[in-house]
Amino acid sequence: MTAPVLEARGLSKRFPIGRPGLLARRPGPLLHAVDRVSFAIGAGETVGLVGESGCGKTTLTRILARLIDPTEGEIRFGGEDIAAVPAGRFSRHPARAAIQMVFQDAEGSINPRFTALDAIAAPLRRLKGLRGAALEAEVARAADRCGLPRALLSRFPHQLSGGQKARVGIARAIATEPKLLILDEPTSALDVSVQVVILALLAELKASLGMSYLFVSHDLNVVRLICDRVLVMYLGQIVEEGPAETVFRAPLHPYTRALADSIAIPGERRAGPKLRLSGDPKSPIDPDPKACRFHGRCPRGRELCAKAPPPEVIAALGRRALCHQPLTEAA
Amino acid sequence: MTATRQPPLLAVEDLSVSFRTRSGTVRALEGVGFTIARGETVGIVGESGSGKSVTAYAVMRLLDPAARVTSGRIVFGGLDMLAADEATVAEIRGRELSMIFQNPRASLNPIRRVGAQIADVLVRHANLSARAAAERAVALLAEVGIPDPARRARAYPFELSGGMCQRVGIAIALACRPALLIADEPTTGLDVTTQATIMDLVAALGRARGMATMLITHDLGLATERCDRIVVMHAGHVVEDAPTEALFARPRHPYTERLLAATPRPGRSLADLRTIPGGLPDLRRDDLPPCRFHDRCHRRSVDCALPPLPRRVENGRLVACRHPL
Repeated sequence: MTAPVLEARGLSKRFPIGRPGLLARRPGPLLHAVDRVSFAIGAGETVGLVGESGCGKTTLTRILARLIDPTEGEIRFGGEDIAAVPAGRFSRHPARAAIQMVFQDAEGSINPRFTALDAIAAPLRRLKGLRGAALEAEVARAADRCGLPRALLSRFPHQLSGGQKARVGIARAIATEPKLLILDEPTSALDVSVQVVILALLAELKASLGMSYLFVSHDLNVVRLICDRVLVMYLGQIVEEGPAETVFRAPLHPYTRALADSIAIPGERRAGPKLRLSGDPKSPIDPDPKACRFHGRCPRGRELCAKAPPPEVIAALGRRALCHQPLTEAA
Repeated sequence: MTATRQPPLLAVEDLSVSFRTRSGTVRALEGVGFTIARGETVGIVGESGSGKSVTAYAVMRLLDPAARVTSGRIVFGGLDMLAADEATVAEIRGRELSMIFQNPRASLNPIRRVGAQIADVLVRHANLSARAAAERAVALLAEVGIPDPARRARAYPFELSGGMCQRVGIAIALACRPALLIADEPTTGLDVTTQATIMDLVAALGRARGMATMLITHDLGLATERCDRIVVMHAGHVVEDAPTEALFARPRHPYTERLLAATPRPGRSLADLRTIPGGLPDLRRDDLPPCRFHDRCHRRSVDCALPPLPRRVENGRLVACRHPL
């Protein structure tokens, strides 16, 4: 991995739920959305973030984009701990323009009363303080980079196709020339023919602008296609990390194995038994600190898994898993 | 399957459907035809707007009031579905022919307990008493792999996860042991691990009961794993109909070829993927070319101005193209 552009150290987010009683001394129950997560994103790298819904992917991306404050932990970005800057004040921090986000639902994430031009101009106006002709020139530049015809800039979201809306969402995010782009399922609503075009655009932008990507997706075939490394989350923890191809080909964690076995590959029927999960994940509310969170659903679970938190197993450089008995290549 | 003399369970012939809208008539389906044999799993694949769901709703006779069937026949188990009266169709729907939907939670009644929703079908179609139906509903929940079914039968949809709601949907659809299940994007929006278990369940129950399945999906991976045969649709036309393996081994219609070339799969890099030029044609146009892929096709020639009559290119395989690969 190259020098990290962002490094997360022991990040946690716990949401209090319910009301603690007025007279209660004890704090109320806590939902552990993200639990002591550490990882780094290298310069120019594309890191995939996968896991089932409710595992904390979205909370983690919102912490990294500094939309919400972590309960604990550090985010090293540009030689500074940006986790220490309160979310409310982060909008005026120089790093705001350097970390941008592309949202899943291009339709819902663009103000319906904004034209494409307004949408792309907003971050330039707010974060770069651009006005007038300079602003217009920058908007046009971002639109050109994203292959969005200038004639479409005066249109409202409902007048644009799915692919064009995706381009507006991307143009808006790259307008400030960020270092890190967080992409939350950017192509999940698109047809494959449009998806290819958008993925190619993202690859091209990354190269020309020297950005790093954190790519959140459910589509593991796409993750495998464009990510250098992948982080696998389960109930708030990163349970496995490694090069994308290796993680899916030879997973260490049983959960990753179940994910990999669930991928349906176009034009290829895989023989052999597949690992399937039964039941639903445990509750993220006050989880047992002494047990593996996957225990109960894990086909390899032993007594030990209910009694001690799983250790971090480092299989190779940059290849780790959180498991008492990780799978080996042969398993 | 097609070699046997037995008539197919479902035959869709020359089906055309259009929708009246304020901005003109949308010719959503034109000359759509395919068959499904007993016990067979057939995938209907294509991009959004290709007419997959309209086809499914036409077979269920649940089309929107704005839709008009302008030509064709749908024969299910010997019955002409389009000519039959509403009472006959209502008798068949839910019993012989049922459907599971894309958004499992939205397809359930939010203010009724899920057990009661399953029991409804049994009271209506299986002539069970309310009590017997309630008991059978619990047994069905157990059959679709819901733990603690007696308690879960009393749950409302919002109390269940998306995967569990889809299991309830499957229990409702399969309550009367239908001969054909139509699954319209049954796993879109569910987690990948849940997707796999839901599809395993549909496949296992289908096998055990000799049920045929029409699987509507845009996910070619899912279609590969689950379907015996795949029908590829583009802009309201069936462009290719082939056994799954043959289709992937050697696509014959230019659109199928392009679709496969645009789909990510392991071992392919981004540079290997190719795009499909252009978009779907506007189906409101009066001057739609007879081949609706015409404007996007790299193989088009002068005679493509004539209708691309479906032809049998090999055994069990149809391609609607004048210049197949």
